[in-house]
Amino acid sequence: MNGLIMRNPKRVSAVQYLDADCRPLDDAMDGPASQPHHHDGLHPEHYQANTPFSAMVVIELERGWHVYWQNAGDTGAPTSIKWNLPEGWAVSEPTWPTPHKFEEPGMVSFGYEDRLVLAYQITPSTGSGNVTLQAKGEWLQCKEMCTPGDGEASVTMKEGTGEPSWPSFLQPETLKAQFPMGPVKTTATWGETGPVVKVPAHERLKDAVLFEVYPEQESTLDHLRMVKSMRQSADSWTMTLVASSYFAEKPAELRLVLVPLNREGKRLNAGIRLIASVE
Amino acid sequence: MLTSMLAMAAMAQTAEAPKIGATAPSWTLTDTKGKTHRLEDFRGKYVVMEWTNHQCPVVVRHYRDGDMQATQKWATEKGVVWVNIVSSAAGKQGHIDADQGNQIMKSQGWGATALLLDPSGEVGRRYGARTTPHMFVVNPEGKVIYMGAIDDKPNGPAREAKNLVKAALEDAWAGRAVAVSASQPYGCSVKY
Repeated sequence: MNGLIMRNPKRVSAVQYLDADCRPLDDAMDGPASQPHHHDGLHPEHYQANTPFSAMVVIELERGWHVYWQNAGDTGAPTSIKWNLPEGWAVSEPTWPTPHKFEEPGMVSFGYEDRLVLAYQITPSTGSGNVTLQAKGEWLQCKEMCTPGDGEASVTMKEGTGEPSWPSFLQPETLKAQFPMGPVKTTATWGETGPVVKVPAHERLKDAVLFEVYPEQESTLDHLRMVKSMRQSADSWTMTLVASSYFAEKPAELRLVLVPLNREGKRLNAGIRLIASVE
Repeated sequence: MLTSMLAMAAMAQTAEAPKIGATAPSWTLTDTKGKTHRLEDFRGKYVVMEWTNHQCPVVVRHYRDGDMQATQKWATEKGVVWVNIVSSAAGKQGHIDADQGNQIMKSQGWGATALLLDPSGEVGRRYGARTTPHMFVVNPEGKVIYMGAIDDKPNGPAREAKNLVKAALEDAWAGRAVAVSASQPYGCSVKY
């Protein structure tokens, strides 16, 4: 497997938006002092033309700070990465790790504390030779208060073969434990309160007593009162969910991440992605 | 204890939460000039409510780039009443007194009609205001025609985004159904 790791600097500049017109913000920042951008000393990696490889973008945060999932939830803003690739190269949509909930009275948001690893698949074209790949990120990072975050990372790659060097937190087994499996296809109907979703049997769900539900789409489900009921029948489940008050249109499909919980409410694993076509 | 508090907060939100097409929940608030306003006083006009926190970086971006002031001026020049509401509690980020509010409006060149203070958070909770910014648009009959984000690009820049408040007003003025009447708001949480 070829590999490319892009690591953002630990703690990126928080002062991008803080110019002379916004002095009060400086006082309000209770976050750690910002540091200038820098790139990790990445050594050249290898690629083979037309052979897709995995690429990771890592955003590392000061302890206790969090960034947001593709659906930020009731507050926050989604983390955004833009790639600058050689001509003819293609990059997939990101695969997101299973998010966590951050609760405030009357509000819940979805994201990641301390570190976010986004996974991509990059497909090189032919005849590119030595190349530089660049990823630029923008996000909102919060810990009681919020500051804007941005950063960029780049890496040089050579055409050829070579073993990637993955740090321990990017080892495939470690990543597998953080990402949902799937997607698993299923169906849903639209009930009185919102979607009624059939959850098929899956090895990751077999010991579940309850689930956490994360809607990938914005404005779809009521994040605070998402689940009206869950009924188990043999090894499958039926979940009746509650539509968001910001819900505008019945979607053709509903994309969810389901995380199985045990009796103590602890996660059993990183769960599955579920794509339900809405009847 | 926490669970019951969360449940109460949730109930408070649902009791009178605004709904598209329904009469907007009423409020009476004092602005930074000391004038008291009631939502009902503005019947016959479109009203835009903008929840704000001048220390929230998402709000800062919209004012630094000038797009929020430009939208305010665009709207008020067309007869829209545009009120900013601050629901930050005392001691929390974004809490301001009247003088601070006036200074911010002046230094940033706001085009809003008034800046209303809601330090108890009562009106914010009644509206289920979650983020700064969080927008509500009310028509001359007092019905909610839009609620949610200011635009469709949470990470900006606004010049590349579709401004959903402008779009809702333009739809309403043209006699069309509002194409996007609700969208998930983004930004910092309101600091109740």
